[in-house]
Amino acid sequence: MTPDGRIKLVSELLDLPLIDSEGKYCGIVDDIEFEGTRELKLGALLVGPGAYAGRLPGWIMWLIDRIAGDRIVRVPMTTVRTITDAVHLKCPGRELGLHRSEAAAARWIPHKGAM
Amino acid sequence: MRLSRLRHKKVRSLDGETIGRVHEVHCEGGRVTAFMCGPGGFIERWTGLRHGGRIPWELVRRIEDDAIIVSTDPPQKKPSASRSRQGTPRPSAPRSKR
Amino acid sequence: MNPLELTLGIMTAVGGFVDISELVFAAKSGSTFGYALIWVFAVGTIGIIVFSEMSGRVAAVAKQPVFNLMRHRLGLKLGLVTLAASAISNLITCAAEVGGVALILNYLTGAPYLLMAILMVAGMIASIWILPFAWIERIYGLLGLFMLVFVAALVAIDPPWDKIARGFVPQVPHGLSTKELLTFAYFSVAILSAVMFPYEVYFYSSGGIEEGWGPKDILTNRMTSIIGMGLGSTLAIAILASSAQLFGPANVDPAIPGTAALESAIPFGRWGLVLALLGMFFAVSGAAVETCMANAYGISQFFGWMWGRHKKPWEAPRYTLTWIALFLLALLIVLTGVDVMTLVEFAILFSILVLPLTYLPLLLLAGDKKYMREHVNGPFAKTLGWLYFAIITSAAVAALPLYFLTSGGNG
Repeated sequence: MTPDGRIKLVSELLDLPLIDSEGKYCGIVDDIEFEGTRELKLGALLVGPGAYAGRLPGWIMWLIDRIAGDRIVRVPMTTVRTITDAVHLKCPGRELGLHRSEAAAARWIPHKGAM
Repeated sequence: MRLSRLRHKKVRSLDGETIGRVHEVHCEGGRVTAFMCGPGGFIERWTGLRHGGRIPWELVRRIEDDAIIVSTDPPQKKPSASRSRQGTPRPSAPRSKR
Repeated sequence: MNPLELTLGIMTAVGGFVDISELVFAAKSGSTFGYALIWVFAVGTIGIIVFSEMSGRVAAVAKQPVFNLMRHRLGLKLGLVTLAASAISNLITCAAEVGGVALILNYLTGAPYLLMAILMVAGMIASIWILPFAWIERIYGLLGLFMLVFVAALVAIDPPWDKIARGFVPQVPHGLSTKELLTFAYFSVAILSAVMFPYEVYFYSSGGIEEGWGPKDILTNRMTSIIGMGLGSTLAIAILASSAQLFGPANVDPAIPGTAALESAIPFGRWGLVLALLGMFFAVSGAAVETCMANAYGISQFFGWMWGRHKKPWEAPRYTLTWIALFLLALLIVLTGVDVMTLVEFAILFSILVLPLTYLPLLLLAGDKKYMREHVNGPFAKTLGWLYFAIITSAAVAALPLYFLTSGGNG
């Protein structure tokens, strides 16, 4: 289905993996942001440990903040192509800032020796 | 406003009667059209079946810190056809899977 | 269906079936209760076949790994609890396997146990780094076929086949005291846990995605699960039966893994001992690699990271750092000097407690038409799946009380 279709946010969108246009996993839908007050519109998908706030108790958030930080990446709904068993994006994840942690981890990995 | 703030929020009528808690939010055309409240959120999530009552978004009067206040009266009839279900926000019989 | 692929898959499943926990509990079961626990191995084998087939089918049809789907189904809170529980269980299991391998190397070479643990972990890290996924799985699985020497050893000692056959019938031996009855119950729970370790399902399902399984591979998946694991369980049952024949009457308690190797040494001499130790070495190393990778799969999939050994290590950096860190953590546990048998006991205990949380989402996913379409669980798979869920939940509830009442099966 497309973002304009009929969708149940908790059982059909929340906690789905995101896959970018290059077929790479780039996170999980950790929360969903609405726009508007009277009428709520789907604004963006929130990805990152900071988006767990509101879903987990405070003491676990404190632990997560120490381990993983409080980063949140906003993925505008306009960048979503389809929603099925994963959220498929129209563009590469790096254009949305989704691969920063992978890039940081990659600096520790030597590029040699693997078949 | 985030989904995490809406979810598990108490739903109360204008009279102060607690109807249930939000466990699902329905969207269409990129807009929130209704939410499900009442018991059985866990069951719905695990089985994909609907449980509890469906409350059209037009019945929402205001969103407070600890609750969503809904009207038990049907909204004013609009000139164009409305697709959402009208009715009192009482937990209904389980509907079939979409 | 490619016959070569299928044959390789079956042989890999056979060689990779036995790990340190099954080795220990098969030998102990045989020496303590004779052939009376064979049926529990059979029941556990059917259980792991049911859930492996389901997990492979979910991977082939939904093309999503189990932990992705599990997080979506369970949500963040319960999903985190499941992840934490399975991560701890897999880590302890990995430590037990690393300790087991180090012990086996100590028997083979005489070199110090802790040094062997360090060298083995370095070797396993190097093997996962250098080799592509299919090679990792095949090499450890196929070299584990040295374990077939235990089947040959059983045939060579001419056991009472009628008693072995009767062992497949569910039974509780007569005339046991209350303590012995509780120990029998504890062994039953431990065997179920050892045969149905959660890491096996995570590794098998993620491995299916690593190998690019699709709906056309469903039959391969089914045959590999049924034949591969069915034949694999004969290795464990052969160890139990030999132990019943050789150790039981002599009141030998196979308290250390090396005792099981004597089952092959007795009929075949030195070469039997060497082949048995080689089989144990590759089988247990393979299990160490699988538990570590399965743990890294679960963590990476839960948080939506790039994952998999079908990519080069630098193409999935967080996944790579995770499995290396997990191996080092397992090594750290072994370096504390904790006894391997203690690690095995804790691995068994944690695993059985986590099993219901592991298998329930899988059961629901495999029964969900939205994900599985025409490949959804049929009545047979559904019935077996729920029956086994009831069995493992009962075992999980009984595990802790039985552990304390029997002092970990020591009576």
